[in-house]
Amino acid sequence: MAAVQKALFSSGILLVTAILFALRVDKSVDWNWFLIFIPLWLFDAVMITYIIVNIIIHFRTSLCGNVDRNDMTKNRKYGLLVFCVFKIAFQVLLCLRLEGFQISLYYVLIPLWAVLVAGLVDNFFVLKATSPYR
Amino acid sequence: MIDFHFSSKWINFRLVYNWILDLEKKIYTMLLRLKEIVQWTRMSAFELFLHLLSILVFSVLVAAKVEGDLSASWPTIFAPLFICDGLNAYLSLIVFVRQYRDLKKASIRLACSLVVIALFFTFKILLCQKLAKGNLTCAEPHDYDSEANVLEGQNLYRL
Repeated sequence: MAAVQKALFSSGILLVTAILFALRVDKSVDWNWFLIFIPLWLFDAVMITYIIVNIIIHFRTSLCGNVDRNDMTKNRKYGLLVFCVFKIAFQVLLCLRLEGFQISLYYVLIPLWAVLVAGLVDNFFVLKATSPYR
Repeated sequence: MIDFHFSSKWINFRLVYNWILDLEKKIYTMLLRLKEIVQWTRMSAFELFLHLLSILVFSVLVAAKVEGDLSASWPTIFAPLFICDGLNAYLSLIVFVRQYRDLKKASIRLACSLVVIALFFTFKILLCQKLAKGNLTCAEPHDYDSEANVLEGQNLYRL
């Protein structure tokens, strides 16, 4: 997918999720929270498929410098896969909590915190490195 | 290249140096992906860093508040997010001042980032009021009779 398509797809998914979320919170609809999160499940499915296909492409082609045409290393792709898994875990826990299960909010937020800390560390290295994308 | 004239029985300095170089290269290639996010959101890496940090602190505070371990009010809980917005606005102003040679480009950039920041800020403040007051009064027209004074100027803040 090109960058424009990816950006459009992500924005559309976010928009639909926000609308469904608002409807559910205002009690205009009375659906299960797992149904409200359907766009996000779809997004996760597409994202995981995309990453796995990219990992397979990485193995099947000979790359110079261990980096593909998007400057992505194999480890980076594995990291993105782990990020997806954490995101799904967070969404499932959030849905369960919203459905009324007695889970402490701390446990619900642990995957989110892990992802955020990883992102912060990642971002910190960018700020430290001499790259043009400060 | 640095040439090592000293040597040690215990540490192979050249190996360590190569290892550090390799690590730097890995980190650099690993992180170039940020390019795409920067393209999408039109935010710099530092702004993203601030957003992530504020969301992290905010989620910790929300968890503590909802679980009853913290008795702060909702505006206090939202403070990290507001601080992040303020810092971002300040940063975009600084960038504008430093780009004054190309005034047109700088103005467009400033306008874009300020609009985005203002929208985020509005969303956060409305969410905060919704959480603090239970609901937004404007969303329920049938309540206007009981609270007729809500839209009469001095009480506009109760939106």
